Amino acid sequence: MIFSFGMEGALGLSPELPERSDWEKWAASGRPFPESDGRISSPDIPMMLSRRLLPGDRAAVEVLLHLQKDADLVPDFVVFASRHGELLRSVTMLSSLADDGTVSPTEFSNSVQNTPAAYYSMVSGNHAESVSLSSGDDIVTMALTEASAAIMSGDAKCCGLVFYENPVSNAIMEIPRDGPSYGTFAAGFLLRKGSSFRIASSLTDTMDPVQLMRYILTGGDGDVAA
Amino acid sequence: MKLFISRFSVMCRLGMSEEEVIDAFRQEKFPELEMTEGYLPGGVKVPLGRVNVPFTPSGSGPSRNDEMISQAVSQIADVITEAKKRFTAERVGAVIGTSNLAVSEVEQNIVANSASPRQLCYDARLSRIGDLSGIFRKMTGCGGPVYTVATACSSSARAFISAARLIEAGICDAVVVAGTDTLSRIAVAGFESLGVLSLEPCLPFHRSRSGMNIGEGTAMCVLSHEMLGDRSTMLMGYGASSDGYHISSPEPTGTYAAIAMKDALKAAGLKSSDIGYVCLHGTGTKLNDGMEAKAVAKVFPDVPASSIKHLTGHTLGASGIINEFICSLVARGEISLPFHPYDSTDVDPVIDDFNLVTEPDTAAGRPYTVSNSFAFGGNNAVLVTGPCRD
Repeated sequence: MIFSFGMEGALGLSPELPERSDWEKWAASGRPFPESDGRISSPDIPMMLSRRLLPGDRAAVEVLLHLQKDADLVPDFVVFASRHGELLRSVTMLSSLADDGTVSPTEFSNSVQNTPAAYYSMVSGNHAESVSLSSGDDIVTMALTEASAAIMSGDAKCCGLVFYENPVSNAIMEIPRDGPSYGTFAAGFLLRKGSSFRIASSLTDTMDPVQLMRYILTGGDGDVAA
Repeated sequence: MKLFISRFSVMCRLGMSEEEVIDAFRQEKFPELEMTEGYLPGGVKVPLGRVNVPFTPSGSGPSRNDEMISQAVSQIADVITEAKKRFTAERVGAVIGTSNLAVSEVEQNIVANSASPRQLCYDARLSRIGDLSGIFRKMTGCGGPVYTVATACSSSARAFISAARLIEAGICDAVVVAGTDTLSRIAVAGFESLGVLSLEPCLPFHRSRSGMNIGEGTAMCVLSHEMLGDRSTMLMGYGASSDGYHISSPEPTGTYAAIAMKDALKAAGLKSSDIGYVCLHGTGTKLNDGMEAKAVAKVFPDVPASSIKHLTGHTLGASGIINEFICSLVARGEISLPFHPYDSTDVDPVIDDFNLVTEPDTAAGRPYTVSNSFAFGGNNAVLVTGPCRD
């Protein structure tokens, strides 16, 4: 399958790469992604809401808000994609259950995979439909498929697609890794019908979200590479 | 848009197959929710919509969730095989809706295997939602796109929307749609912490309702542009929206839920007066039922409507597809309308007025149905179903 989109914007955010220019330099350098679970600045999210979010969720919401402001476009369909989602909250809640059999209401409310989608909608006031998606190593292909299906079926004119991850371990438990980990990050794209960005699923099958971003920032758009 | 929905596989408190659920409705014999200890501290019992699948000690075999999915796949294995034969495996995808990917076994074994609550010991990949898609691909042999949709309690209704688009966009010819969630202490204790868990059998839309009961379930069907076997219905349209209001409370005026309902009707090319039944989200909480009553009163004021949460418990990520299954049975004329077994004078007088079914009734002459699913984060999804027309 060949994915074909009009690319209206691409933006990444991580603790070590807080600016667009940082991502461009990193992409061009060929260096490994600078993994970090440090702080994420989120000036566009009200502090009362921001403090309830895990750092990767915060990055995901911030990236989409930035993208739509930069492109002056409001997506009518939003996809948030993550392998681990709110796994860290599950660990925290399991610990609490083992401790005294209770769960914090705030922790529980924010433990759903669609937490970033919910906060994006609250902050932006965009009431468009959203979906939160998960998969394994093939998450890039699956999320592009979901976005592509919405656009090709005519249901969406502009899709905001955001990949994000939260830290996968905390003090309670070291979670085994079975692939590369990038710590906290979000990588977002604004997509429309078009052909300014084309890529084969045979290529995205071997990519994680960070590699997809590097591919796009280094001029991979237009290169189908079937 | 008109896509064929195959017959369903289903496991929930109402029955362990389509046939068992139909029998339960025809005989009006519904298994009561089970008063169960061990999900809340202090030996407190809660009514749960448990399914008769045993717990497996962690690491000693497939998880309970995997076992339920495996059984559900086997119930419609012939339909999945027919789809792969007709279209090739690469043209058959799958979208699975889930919310918590059942950490039941994990929860049971934490205390036994962990040195202290502050140092947990288990493989967290067991509760990583995305890994379900790999398990599902192996079980079904689907060669097309396979992924998990996790929008809390609307997950498996949203899975229908994703599946429909995969077909409409020409990416797939058929898509297996699934929903699954099993009982977990996190869910029971979590809803209790929010003050929305009832310790008695729930009474959606009743003046004395005190919250929801938790259930569990798995259901599955195949969506396609061609009919695959008998007992089919049609997905006529869908609508979706976001409240943009609060992480765990619905937008109280029901404005965005109503928009999703209107969009679904429009996509189906139908009017409100064409609809014979609305399967409500109807959890039994003050806020959900109040909001949903407002939305339904705006869009379907006269259409018979009811929830099934008092029969199944709230099956969370599976509730969307189980609602859709009930709608399909109604559209096929297999069952009468689910009803709330209390006097109509006990319907909450404070909520907006609509046609809540409180005694046996049918959708006579109007076979089109609507199913509502709402979720944490204000994720709203509405499906319109109709009888099969080849």
